[in-house]
Amino acid sequence: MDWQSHLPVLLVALPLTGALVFPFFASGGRTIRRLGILLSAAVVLALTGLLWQKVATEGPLLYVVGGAAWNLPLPPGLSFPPRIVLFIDAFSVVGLGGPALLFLAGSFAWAGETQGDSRTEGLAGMFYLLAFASILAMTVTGDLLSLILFFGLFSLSLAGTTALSGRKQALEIAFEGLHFWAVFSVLALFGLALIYGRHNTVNMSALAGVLQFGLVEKVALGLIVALLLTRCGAFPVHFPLFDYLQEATPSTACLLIAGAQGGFYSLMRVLFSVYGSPLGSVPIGWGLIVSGAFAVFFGLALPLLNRPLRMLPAFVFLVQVGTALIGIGAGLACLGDVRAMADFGMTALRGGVAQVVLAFPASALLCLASTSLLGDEETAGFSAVVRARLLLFFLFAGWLLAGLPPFVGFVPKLLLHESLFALNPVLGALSLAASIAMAALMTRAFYALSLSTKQSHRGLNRLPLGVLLSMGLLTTVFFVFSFLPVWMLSYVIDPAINALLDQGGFMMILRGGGM
Amino acid sequence: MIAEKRYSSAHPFLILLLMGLGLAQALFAHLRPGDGFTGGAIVALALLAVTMKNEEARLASPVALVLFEGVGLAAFLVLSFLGMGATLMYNVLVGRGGVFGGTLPAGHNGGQLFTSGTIALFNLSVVLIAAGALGRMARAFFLADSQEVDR
Amino acid sequence: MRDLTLVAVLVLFAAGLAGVVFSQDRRKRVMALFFLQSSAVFLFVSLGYRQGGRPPLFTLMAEGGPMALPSAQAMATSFLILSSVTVALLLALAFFLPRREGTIRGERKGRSR
Repeated sequence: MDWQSHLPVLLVALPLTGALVFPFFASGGRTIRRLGILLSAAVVLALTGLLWQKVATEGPLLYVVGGAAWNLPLPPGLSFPPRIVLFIDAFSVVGLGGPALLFLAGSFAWAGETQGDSRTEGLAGMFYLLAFASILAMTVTGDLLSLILFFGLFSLSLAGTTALSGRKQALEIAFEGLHFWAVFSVLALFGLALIYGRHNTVNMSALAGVLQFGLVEKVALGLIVALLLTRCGAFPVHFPLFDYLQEATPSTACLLIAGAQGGFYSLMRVLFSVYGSPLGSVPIGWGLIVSGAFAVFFGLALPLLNRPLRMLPAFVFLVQVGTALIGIGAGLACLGDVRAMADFGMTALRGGVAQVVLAFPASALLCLASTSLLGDEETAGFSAVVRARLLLFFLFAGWLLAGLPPFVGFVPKLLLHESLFALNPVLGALSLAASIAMAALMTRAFYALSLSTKQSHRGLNRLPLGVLLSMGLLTTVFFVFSFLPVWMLSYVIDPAINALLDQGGFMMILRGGGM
Repeated sequence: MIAEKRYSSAHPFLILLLMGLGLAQALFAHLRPGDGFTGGAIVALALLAVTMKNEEARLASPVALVLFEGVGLAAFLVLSFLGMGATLMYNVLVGRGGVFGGTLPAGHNGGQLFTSGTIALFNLSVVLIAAGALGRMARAFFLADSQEVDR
Repeated sequence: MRDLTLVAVLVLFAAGLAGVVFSQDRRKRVMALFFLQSSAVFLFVSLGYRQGGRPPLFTLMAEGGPMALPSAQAMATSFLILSSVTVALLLALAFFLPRREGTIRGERKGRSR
């Protein structure tokens, strides 16, 4: 047995260990704190790369935590797996890649922000690492209970990070968001209890095999999906994430967006892999589409009518979430119908996944640029030269988000445009109008930011290195992807979607498939 | 205005009882409900009853509690990576003989204490972590509360 | 017996939900949340109950009669840990908030205790 079979668990265990020992080493000085955060992020990114390569060559990976062997989920004589099983396939790797990239970008920003006293910083760093570790854990876990528990840990550390950021409204927003998320977690746990009471297991793969789509399962699905939608920031339950994003420092913005990316991953895993084809006959796909359409409408109409510039990233992110939900909902609505799936459902699903993979990091870039441009009330603004550089990053992010062709941002928009009108012409019109309105919004915000001169005289002359590195990292990645849109689709998105739609393979994991 | 809130003191016997109950929760965790965390909460309660009696102890810096946390955390991490030969957190001690490595007889039985392998050690380290962390938490709340009365 | 625990779960859940929805005071809302979480813990514990079940101790062979499920209790304890830590953080935030704002309630001025 080589050490690479331990990769799935190391991906979670190493950042978690880092988070737990972080407060003990935090008093060692600023350099130690920076190194700790950056090292964890680099290790996670490297492990994700290794996992990607391993999954591409060997197929889905399995890991039984605490078992006598890593590939023995069912000890003889048992019909359900008794232990926590970690599971990674091509779709999970895509779900891990985005958060791992944003982890590194956010860590650069975190290292640039750090200057406070060691005690607060120790706590803040611990919360930061804990939040990312729980995002990774929610992605690789194979059972619903640890999904919900790690969501609790994630919301907790998110509230801690926000509360320690020192912004004016931070404490109140942290309290309200955590309270909201905690109530939804309890409701989802009730849903899980319904499933457990009927089927005696919480393992996703085992559930996919035994689940019959009755009333109990419908109620449970509603409760669990409601929790996952709050995590994604979907429309009627968007406000914790929306508020957090308004008060976010650059590093926290990366964390929030990575969390929403992980939320989309879990949502699709529960909908497509655990429940699967029976969902084609119930209107949950249309529910997602309607929620996404409302998010797109409000996210574009309100800032175009006039809202403070500080709220711009939150609104833009709401639009991205809505667009991704429309794509995924369209894919889900076609799930029962093989012909519709082949005609346009698959394309819509590819658009939705590409939106999550590409537009979310682009929103993080927008957040980084615009929070730096607007600055705090306490800190002085930047000088005109630095503002011009920041505006370049802002322009690039806006270009990506509006879906204009030279850069890779057009891929998800194009896929959605060419598939949604087949499902319903109104949706096609809406998605085209949304693209145009997004371009208009970006132009307007760019003018508003570049014409405001109130802070240009007494400014700082240098951009903090951390924020610059973090924006540079994201920009480089997008530049590279811009040259390879076809490679991106055929080697990243398509294997992920095939793994997602292969429900039979997902059920076979515990029976020894995929070794 | 009241200068200081009075906290009633607990009898030493009660404190010993609480400590023993907490440790028992952790040691018997593989046989009955309860685990290291609940045991640690009870131990933290006992520690709180000791330190809240007089003011010096209450205001003293919580070095001991931090030490508890650190030692417990180190033990937990060592124990979980010890099983890395098989998988993370694999129970390396069970069935090996020795103090915790007894073997359960086949069939239904009343349960035997020293058969759990590393589970009991995990639970003991969690007792340390939970006692330290919950103790510090409760101390912070007590201090915040008494300061509020001071104002 | 089992039905009685379900009644207790319902009562706790209703009380918690009412508190979460209707209460204005932050500390009361936290405590109502704790009621909700306790009802979930209780539900999980009662799910493991089997009529006339034995304690879940066996090695390799389970002979004679049903056995209470230990995994439900393990789930309940792991959620208990999470819920208590969440409540502690919420309470800490609720304690710190009035110092910044002057009042614990969102709208009204004055001491709320």
